[in-house]
Amino acid sequence: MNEMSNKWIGQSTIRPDGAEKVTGRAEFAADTNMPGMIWGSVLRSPHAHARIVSIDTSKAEAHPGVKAVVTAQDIVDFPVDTPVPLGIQDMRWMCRNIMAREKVLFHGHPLAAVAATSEAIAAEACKLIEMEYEVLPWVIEIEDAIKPDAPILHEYLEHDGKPSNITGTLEHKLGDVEEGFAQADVIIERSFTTRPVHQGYIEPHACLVSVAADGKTTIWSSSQGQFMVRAMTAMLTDMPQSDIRAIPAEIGGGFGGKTIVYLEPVATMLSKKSGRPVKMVMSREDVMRASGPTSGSMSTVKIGATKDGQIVAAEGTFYLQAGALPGSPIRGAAGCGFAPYNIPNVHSVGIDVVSNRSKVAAYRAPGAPIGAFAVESVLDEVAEALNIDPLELRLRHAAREGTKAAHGPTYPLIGFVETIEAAIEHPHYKAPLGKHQGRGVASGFWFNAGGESSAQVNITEDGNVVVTTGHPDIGGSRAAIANVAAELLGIDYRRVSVLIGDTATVGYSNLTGGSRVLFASAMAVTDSAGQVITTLCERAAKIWDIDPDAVTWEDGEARPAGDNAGQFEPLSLADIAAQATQTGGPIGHGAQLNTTGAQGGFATHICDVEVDMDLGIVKVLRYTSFQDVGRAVHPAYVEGQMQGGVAQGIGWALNEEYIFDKDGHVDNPGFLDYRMPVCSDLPMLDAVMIEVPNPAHPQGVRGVGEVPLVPALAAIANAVHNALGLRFSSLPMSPPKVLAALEMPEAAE
Amino acid sequence: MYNFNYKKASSRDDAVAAQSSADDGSYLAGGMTLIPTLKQRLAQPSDLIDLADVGDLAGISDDGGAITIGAMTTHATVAESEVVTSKIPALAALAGHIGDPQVRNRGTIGGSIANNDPAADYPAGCVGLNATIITNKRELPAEDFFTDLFETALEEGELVTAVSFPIPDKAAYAKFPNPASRYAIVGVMVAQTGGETRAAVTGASQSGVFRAADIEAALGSGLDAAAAKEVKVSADNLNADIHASAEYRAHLISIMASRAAAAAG
Amino acid sequence: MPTVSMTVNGKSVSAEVEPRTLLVQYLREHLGLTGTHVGCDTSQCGACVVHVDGESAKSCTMLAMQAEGSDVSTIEGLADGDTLHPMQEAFRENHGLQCGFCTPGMVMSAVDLVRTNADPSEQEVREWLEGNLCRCTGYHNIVKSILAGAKAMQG
Repeated sequence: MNEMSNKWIGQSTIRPDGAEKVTGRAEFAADTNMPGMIWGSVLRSPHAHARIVSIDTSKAEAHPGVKAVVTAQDIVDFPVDTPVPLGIQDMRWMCRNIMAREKVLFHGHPLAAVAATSEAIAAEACKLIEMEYEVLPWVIEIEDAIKPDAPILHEYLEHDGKPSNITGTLEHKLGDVEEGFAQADVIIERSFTTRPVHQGYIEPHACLVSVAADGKTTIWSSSQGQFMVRAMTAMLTDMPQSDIRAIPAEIGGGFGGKTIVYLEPVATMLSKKSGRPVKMVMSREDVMRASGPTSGSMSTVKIGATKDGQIVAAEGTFYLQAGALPGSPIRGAAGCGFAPYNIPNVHSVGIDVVSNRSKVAAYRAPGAPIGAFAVESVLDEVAEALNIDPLELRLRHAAREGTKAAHGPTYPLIGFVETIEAAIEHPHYKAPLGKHQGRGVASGFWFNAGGESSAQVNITEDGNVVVTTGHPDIGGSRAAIANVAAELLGIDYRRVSVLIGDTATVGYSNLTGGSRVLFASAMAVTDSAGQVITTLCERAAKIWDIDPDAVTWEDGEARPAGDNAGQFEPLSLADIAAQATQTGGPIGHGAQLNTTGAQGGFATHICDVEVDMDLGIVKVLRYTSFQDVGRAVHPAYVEGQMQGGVAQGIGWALNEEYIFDKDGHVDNPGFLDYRMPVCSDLPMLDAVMIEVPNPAHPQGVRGVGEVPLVPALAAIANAVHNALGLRFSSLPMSPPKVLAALEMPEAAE
Repeated sequence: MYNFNYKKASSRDDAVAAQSSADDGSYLAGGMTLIPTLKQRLAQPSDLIDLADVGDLAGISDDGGAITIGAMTTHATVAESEVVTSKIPALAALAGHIGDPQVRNRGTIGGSIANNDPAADYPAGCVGLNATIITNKRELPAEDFFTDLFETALEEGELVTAVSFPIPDKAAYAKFPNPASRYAIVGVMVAQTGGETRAAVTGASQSGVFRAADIEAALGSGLDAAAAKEVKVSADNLNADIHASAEYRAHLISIMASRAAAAAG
Repeated sequence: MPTVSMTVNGKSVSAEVEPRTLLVQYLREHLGLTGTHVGCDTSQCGACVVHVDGESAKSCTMLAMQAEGSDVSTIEGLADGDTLHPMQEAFRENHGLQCGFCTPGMVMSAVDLVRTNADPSEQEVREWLEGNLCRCTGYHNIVKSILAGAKAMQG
């Protein structure tokens, strides 16, 4: 596509759902109601680790107003010895996560659920369920979970031939690190820890499920994938997928945390048993205790360089918390950390560790910020040791087209170098700093994903356009898709209506996740719109009685392809639509694709901080992120992703953390004590988009949603180091910790 | 939330009578602390007696040497009041940084002090400024009013009606807010009134607001900010929680006192 | 059960409610005004902000009974028919939202800011929003939207 001719791609058009969202009319899952609806409530474990001896629900069932009670007995049991993969999840763990089976594995683990005529009655009835437990020793932190005498969560999972809390490993190798380190003049090795943090979406999980007498089931829920909801619910309730219609409600944020189910299968069983529609809404406390944060981590990174500034070897070991059931994002940590660089010898290992905390869920570039925090902090030290500007060091080693990455691929055309060059040239990098201020830089990588997406493009009878895609719109993707469709069809974007279909109205579409939505859905829309244009040309040919090859589509109208085609007045979309019945019937086409060609995303960040030397408060003064965004189809929402990712990184670096008490319970399960950034904590977050279009995509799109978080933790830590000369290897850099380190530098570790 | 009976009182007498006839009646002012407490089922009053319609409990008056603020006066009203901003700007600033704008629109001075949350701002303001707490029965100095964590000298059914603040010569409040809740991790009101120097600390102690004698001594009559900063406050009996250790709070007392003193000038 | 009466978005409403009914529950469940959202339970997130007698308040931290006789406005009552309120229009035009869940509370809070401060600075906007959480935008476009909305409200 010739960029210069673009009319809508590259415009920050008004979002199609804007008016509904600013007037409160947009329907989120908790806003949905049905006649006869009742409420579900979940009984959760008071213990961090216990064997379930017995559950007696009889008193709850007899409680006035109670219509149904479900326990693990009502959920399909996938035996632990056979993997049942679904996407990146394993249904063995999913069935045990939504309802405890043999054991409760974390405080807040669901044990049973009650549906009753009011939320209050359902909650009261939960308390009438009689539980008998054999309380077991528990373990929360990685360093404790990997000790030889640690309480074991899953006796059947072995590592090194014996039961272990290490439940998975992954290794990437390139070259020979031993040889590499042998050539190094400077070797820096450091260990790091990060704390688990929550995605922090403002909308708690919610759903409404109606199972009709014939088993036909409708689910309205807040998720990052209606097809995921359908598949997981079908598997966990033993229903055919064709009986389930999953309708995506508007979603109030997800950031990866809504890529699995918690409530939907439970509400389905409650509805099936009660014969009534059942609504379930988590409290914020439920969200914090029992939905997945991202992993806490423990890692060691070692980088060696020659004295002339060549990095010759890099090694990393990343232990990540999986929560109570296996499956932490070790691939993101071990794979993305070194991915931005051309280093000849790399060895990177990821280790999955279970412990008695809620199962982790994806969080914006899962694992990658953890990897980048360690790698980019050590790189900063290498640059210092070699007396090279930290961006210059990164530029010298920046991956580019043809670079072989340790995690596998040889890169196609990528725009990482451009992000570093733009950062070096930016006024921010040269701006003077005041007292107790520091500047840090860091880079980052995220894989980005393609995969399955479907779209349908229909021409309405009055010549306008309805586009249906299959991905919940979490950050403005409908606006971007409207731009793509308008561009392809040559019409004003306001004539394109973009809808998110449910599982019955659009073809299978994988999750809103992996920074894949616009990449994949724009391909499906391009394919569909191409077919529509072919049909429109055929219809015009029929009207003009000429060969379809003699018709072209330009600026939203059919025109004769040249003088030889004949002299005809152009036919607009409306003209052709008006004659559709006479020329062959309705005009509309769909595409179901398994997209490929998603290419990695790269970013480089510059951060300025100021440290209050008396209080230990780190204030972010200025932040500029540079990202290869491929093609910014809708610049305002690309910048929005960059700003949102940085803000989450600032929270992770400076204040956010899960804190457990002496009983293995989360001590800060709400916004009263869990410290997400508020507006006054942040400056304006400048976003510099660098467009190196993806040649494998019709519009040049690369995923943009996740990489903005990746460099942030390290950029901030490097800025604090620059301000104080102290390197924080453990997050968050909260005021008490910073103050302690000012007085006693070893407290930074 | 447990259920309860609700009554909107029409006068002070009506409120007191309703409270005394209830099994376990609780006055409801702005509700900014009470309602979250009820939602978490941390309290189970039988009756709530809403004071919102008791007309003569709200308002600010300037009595020459002192400013009297009615118990039902909201934080926003105090923060924006011309009288308070001109006569005791430290108090207006304190009120203007409580919670967030929505809390300030509904939360009241009477509700705040009657609850005596150890991390609330007003107790430091009252003690630091040597306020007099006025109830339907008596008047007592703020220092005698705040007795312990969430405890006051209020007797069963006794109603705070107003707080009277003598106009200080110099005063300022400095707080280190909890980054999540915006409650004070430590807040210090430093004031000098008629030759007396006070430094009242909230957020730090296990028993609620207190005057920091060593800080007051260091501040002296000149409000010596540098000297206050040098005071090594003992961490004994200070709060330790997930946000800050006792030692960190001890450190904050000196720093916030010093900053308040500098601001009071 | 006691009866509560108030004016909501200009309309008189009345219902029997349990005294423990929160204002937000009354608005959402009795009146179907689901534009007022619940994001936390502890009065931090501000998704539930409405105006009570012209001032912003968190409807999750208020009993419906406390609004007896009050004039309540919610996000649904802000627009003038088909014409968006200038602050709503500013959020829409300046991309002041991503997921849109915090938006009703943000808009209601912002309108109250302009009531008390017609020409706020960036810093004043940031401080005013201490009771409204957004996790999507980094607040960047929200601040821009409010500054633009404040200007439009003056014009």
